[in-house]
Amino acid sequence: MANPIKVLGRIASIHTYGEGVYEVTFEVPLRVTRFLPGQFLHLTLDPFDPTTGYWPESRVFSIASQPRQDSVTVVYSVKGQYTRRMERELRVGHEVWLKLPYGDFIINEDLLDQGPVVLLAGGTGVAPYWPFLRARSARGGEVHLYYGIRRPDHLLFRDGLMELQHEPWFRLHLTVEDGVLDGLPSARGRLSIVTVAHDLGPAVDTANFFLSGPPVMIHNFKSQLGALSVESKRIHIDEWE
Amino acid sequence: MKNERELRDEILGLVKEFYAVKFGKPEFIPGTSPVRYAGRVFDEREIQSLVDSSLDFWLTEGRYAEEFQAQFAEFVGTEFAILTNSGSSANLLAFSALTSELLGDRRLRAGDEVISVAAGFPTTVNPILQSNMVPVFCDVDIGTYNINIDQLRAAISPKTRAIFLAHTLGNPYNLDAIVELVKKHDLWLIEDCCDALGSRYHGKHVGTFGHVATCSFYPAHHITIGEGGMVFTDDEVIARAVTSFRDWGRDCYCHGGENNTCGKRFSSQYGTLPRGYDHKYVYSHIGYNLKVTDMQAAIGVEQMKKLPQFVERRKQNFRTWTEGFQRWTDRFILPVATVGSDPSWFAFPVTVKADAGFTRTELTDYLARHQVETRNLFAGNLLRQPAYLKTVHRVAGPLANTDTIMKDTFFLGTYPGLSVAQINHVLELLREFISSHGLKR
Repeated sequence: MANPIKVLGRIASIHTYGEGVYEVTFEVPLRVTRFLPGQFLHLTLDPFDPTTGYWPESRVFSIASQPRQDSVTVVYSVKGQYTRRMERELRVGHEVWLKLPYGDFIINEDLLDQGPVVLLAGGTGVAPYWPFLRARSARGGEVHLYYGIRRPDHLLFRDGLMELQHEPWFRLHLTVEDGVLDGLPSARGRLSIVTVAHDLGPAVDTANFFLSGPPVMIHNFKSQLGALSVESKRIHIDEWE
Repeated sequence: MKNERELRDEILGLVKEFYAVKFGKPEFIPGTSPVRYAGRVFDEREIQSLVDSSLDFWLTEGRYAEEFQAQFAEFVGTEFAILTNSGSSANLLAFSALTSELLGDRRLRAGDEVISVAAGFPTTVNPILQSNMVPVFCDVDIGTYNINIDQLRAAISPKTRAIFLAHTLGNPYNLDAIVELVKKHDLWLIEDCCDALGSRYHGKHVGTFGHVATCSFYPAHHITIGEGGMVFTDDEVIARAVTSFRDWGRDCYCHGGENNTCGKRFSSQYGTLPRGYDHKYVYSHIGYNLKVTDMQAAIGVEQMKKLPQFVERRKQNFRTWTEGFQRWTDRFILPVATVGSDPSWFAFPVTVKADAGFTRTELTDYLARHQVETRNLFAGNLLRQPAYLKTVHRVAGPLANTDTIMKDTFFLGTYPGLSVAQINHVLELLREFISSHGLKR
């Protein structure tokens, strides 16, 4: 992690995951990509003049790429006016202003000494976990990823997940609302804390839970974990307005 | 009509002309021109950058502060560099950050003991007293002017929680020994690098061995922005606490001109405030306002580009002084770099021997009459200063060398504006002075 900095990012690639879900990669100067897995950036579609200082309207996106590379990647799904503008305006080769890194939704490795780390992701909410998961190949501990998507084509990081599922420390629990995934085991339906608690058994009392996804999912899961007597200090939330 | 860019270029072009007229190339006339111990070293680019920033009229921290902090962090090799309005403020912020609740049980508390030295600058020690903790003073070694490691080892008590020391005049202290003690006793280490920017120990920049470090940009220092300082660290929790203490103690980390950087400005709950209370006005520390203007940072951006040359010039000047003083080792104790270090010397400290045939004050008075600036090693023995006589503190052992420094030590400049001709002029003055004073035997 480093001091936050504002930078013009040039769009290097845009990958579409079905309808309305995109992965966008920006080329940026190397020193900009000193961040911790789980941190986020601000993206603005409007012009920014550094000599005036005023930062325009922007939106927050988790960084889905590895630190210390010469690019940063974000994923977004089209949900409101701003993301609709992004869908219309972002094109390969265009430049947009970014500022980063921010946030403390950090998965501290020390937590794995307490018990399992359980990552709960709804849709593009998987993004902040991805740099962490990629960085910790071939380590110990027990990390569960509960990842729920609406449709099979919304699955992000498929190739990486295919690789990771063979890691001894990694447990992948995929849930698809509508359809069936090829090549990866998945359950039909929605993510459920009841299922998570059942899978974990007594380890639910020592696990740390990370929640990232739509606000309704976060709110409900937080309440349900509370009802299971999970201490609030063991519930970590990636929550924005 | 000219556009903004054209007008800026025209103004900055005039600034370049102005620099040449006002500052040009000063000529050194021995016996007439002063020989300063320190001073600003700059060219037209610092003034252009300053004016460019003033034309933005953003005033508070902005694009130049962002750039300066990034350059600084890159130079020393830390993740965070946080700009503040002086080296003393940097010390206050670095120390205050270690009292933050963000650190949980590891935080410093009133009554804790913090090891330091009395032979130094007051604002290395002041934050300890201002935080109602107890400074523990150790003696230093003549020559390196850094803490005596044996006394430091003996000074550690069950109440000891931190070590807060300056790398004296740019000379790194024995970091091998100190870091070992820090690890062994689970202490915090705060490195005051106000006089040591560019100094290295085993090839690494000072300030990167402890938990948090500080630097000064007062005009006498390695680079200047007039009034300014930097806190630097790799620890994101400390960096967050430093920023909060600097910015009124607020929890929000938006810069000027920004809103909702955290993305949850109106949706979180803090203290016993109502949920959704504007994060911009949530305070998680009892803080200060110790920020700088973007115009100062604009000077820093240009000074950073010159820093590597500045460091080399300081080392070169130190070598020239050392060669010149070699003939008088019967009169003076000359400075020595700590083993394993490569200092970016702030100054050339000299201790007048007891049998030199003259006193420190006689010599520095003579030099002052010949327009040569010298300085004592700051406060001498801090505990003999009026403000410290009644402070709560502990002394780890006899401070004999500290008293010697107070009586017999002074320093000459090594700053990059000092020329070989000026050093040779001073050495000639010293030769004349010494030849008129026999050794006391």
